[in-house]
Amino acid sequence: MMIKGSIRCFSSSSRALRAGYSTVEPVHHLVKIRKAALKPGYKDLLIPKNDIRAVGFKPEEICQDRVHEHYVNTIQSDMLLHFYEHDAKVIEGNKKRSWGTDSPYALYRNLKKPKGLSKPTKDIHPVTYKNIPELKSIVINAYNSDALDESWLNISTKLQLSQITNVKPKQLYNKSNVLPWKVREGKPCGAKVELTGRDMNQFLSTLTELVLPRIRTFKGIKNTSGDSNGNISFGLTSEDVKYFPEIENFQELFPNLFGFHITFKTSARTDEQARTLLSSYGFPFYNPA
Amino acid sequence: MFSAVNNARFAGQKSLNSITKDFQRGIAMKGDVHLSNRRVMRKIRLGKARPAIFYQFDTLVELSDGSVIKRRSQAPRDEIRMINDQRSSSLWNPHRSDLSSVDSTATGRISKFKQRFAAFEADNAENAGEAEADGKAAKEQDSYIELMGRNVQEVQKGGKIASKKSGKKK
Amino acid sequence: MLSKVNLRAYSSAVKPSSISSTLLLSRNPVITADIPKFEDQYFKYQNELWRRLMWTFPKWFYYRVGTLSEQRFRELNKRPLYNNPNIEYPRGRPEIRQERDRRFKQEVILPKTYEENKSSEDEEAAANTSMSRKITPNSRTTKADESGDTSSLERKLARTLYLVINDGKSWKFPNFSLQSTEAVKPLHLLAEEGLYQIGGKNINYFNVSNTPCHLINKDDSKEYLIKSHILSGQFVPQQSLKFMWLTKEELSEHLDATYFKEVEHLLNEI
Repeated sequence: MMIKGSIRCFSSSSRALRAGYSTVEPVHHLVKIRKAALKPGYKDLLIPKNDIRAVGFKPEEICQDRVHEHYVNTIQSDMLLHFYEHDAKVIEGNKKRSWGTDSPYALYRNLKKPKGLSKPTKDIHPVTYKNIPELKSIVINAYNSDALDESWLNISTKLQLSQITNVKPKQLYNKSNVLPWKVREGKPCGAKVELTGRDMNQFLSTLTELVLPRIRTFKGIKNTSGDSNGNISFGLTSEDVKYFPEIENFQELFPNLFGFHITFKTSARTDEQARTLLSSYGFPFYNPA
Repeated sequence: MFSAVNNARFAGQKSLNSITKDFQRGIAMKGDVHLSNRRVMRKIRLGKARPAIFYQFDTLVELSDGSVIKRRSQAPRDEIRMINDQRSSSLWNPHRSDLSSVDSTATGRISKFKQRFAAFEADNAENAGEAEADGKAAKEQDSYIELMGRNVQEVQKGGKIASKKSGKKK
Repeated sequence: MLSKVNLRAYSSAVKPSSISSTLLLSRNPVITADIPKFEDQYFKYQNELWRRLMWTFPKWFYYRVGTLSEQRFRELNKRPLYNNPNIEYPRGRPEIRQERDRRFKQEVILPKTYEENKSSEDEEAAANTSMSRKITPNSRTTKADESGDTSSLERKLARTLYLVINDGKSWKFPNFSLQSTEAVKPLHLLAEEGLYQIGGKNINYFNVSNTPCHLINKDDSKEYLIKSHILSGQFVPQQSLKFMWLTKEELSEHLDATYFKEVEHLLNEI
């Protein structure tokens, strides 16, 4: 009895040892293993992708990256100072609540919704040298409703994205059924691509230096844009897309152009921080009237 | 004879239909592309997929201020010279007065008027400029700071946020 | 009562005789950083690996058969060696797919978009006028580098430069203290007004934060450092002031050793 009380094994949980009630310990879920993938023929799969021996090895550090240099040399230290707050404290987010521990039913029940809201929110930590906002990736999402009618336009969309970004895009599929729009589940409808590293930085500099300044109607990114978790997005129309140098100089190869949404995924916890980060990369912002 | 007339009528109808449809969607080559179902992509076995690296050229891009950028591009061009870009855009350079905001290609009435009487506008600006010299410098500063988003205040500061999505169910 | 006198709260600190704000005005790098040779070779190696793994250039997409550009492209890029089954290849059999030997990386030569002038005189004449001249990256060293002009903003383009001034005795960052007759001002405004006084109004600069980035605490004085970047314009010294734009290494030579040690961590390596 004494041993049971002092040593905690993997198989026993401390809650079960509390007085007041007795419970049946939960059975662990079985872990599914694809045994076919463990064949000796698939041994190469065990080599990590960044190893030069791996079949899927893709060299990443292929040249000097001036955007990243700018981030490390200037932006990082500036952001740290800019967001410094004296005696800053962690602002706690709204968390899911427990139903209490008075009965086993309450203990293992799914957690209660947060107070007053439907969504739980994360804590906001003060900016220190450990969590300086950083651009993680850029997602380009080109939903193409015309491709529902003409399926070959999916190829055009993918071609356009790959030309702009130098990365192979992924096919998008419809998720819902809306009959008047001919939207059916599982139907291909456009493409998306997620950029990281050098591809992301080159796309970023292309946007701010070559493309956006030439769009006459472009006033900046709206200040209201953002999902309040530090991710900011804006859209380009099919007219704007033709200013990308790859497309502009070979217009006859692209009879159909499509607009898309660009989302900047940052590690910032608020939109304010994300906007500051993007504006230091050279994106203007404006207040919509 | 009869069939020929009929055919002509049909053809006319068809072209009319295609015009209206094209106007609605604006898709080039609509109806002209037929993808063969017989061409099946070769299946790549598990673990045999090579990374997708498109053939890329190093393209030199000269910006309007003379600076040169090297970028990787799939398009077969060895160099590109830009006339309009970030360095000559008034949105990115709010403190520069030499960048005229009047478009040379603008077609509106007001822009036409501005192009025609730009000389008078410049004269006025010069006269007023002396008086406003000090205020202008301060303004430039302000506009730049605004650009950097310093005056922007985040509404949401705490952990509580109203979710943007309406509560509709899928 | 007695305890109240003895206790020293935060609010009753001894007032330092002078509070001053120092402006850390920097010019950010204009071009890519100079990287060590090893790093450069590493990038080259990775780049070659990347080129080797590249897919075949889709020339059928960019150069349609029968066009003039396709003909020009074909003249520049010869077909690889034909894989003849009757011939023994001692160095390995060519692996031809889509007119490319897959054993090697593909090298595509592009038709030049610029005009190649024969004589150098023509080139110089064309350099200023023609839009179809060859693009050559600008030199990484400038006139100011060659002449050793330390007061120019166009020196050491790959490095961060900091403004230092000479007050007659020694080199230091521009430091401004509040006159006793003036009303109390925020530190960043104090620095800004001081900068405009000594350097003229022709400076467009960005103040990173109103919060100072460092405090140099001495017995009788508190020196706050305000970080900012010069974006455009020139520092034009008023009252014949001596000034320099220096990198971190050069600052260590010119600044007072103890003072440099105090601010060293604030300065950019690159």
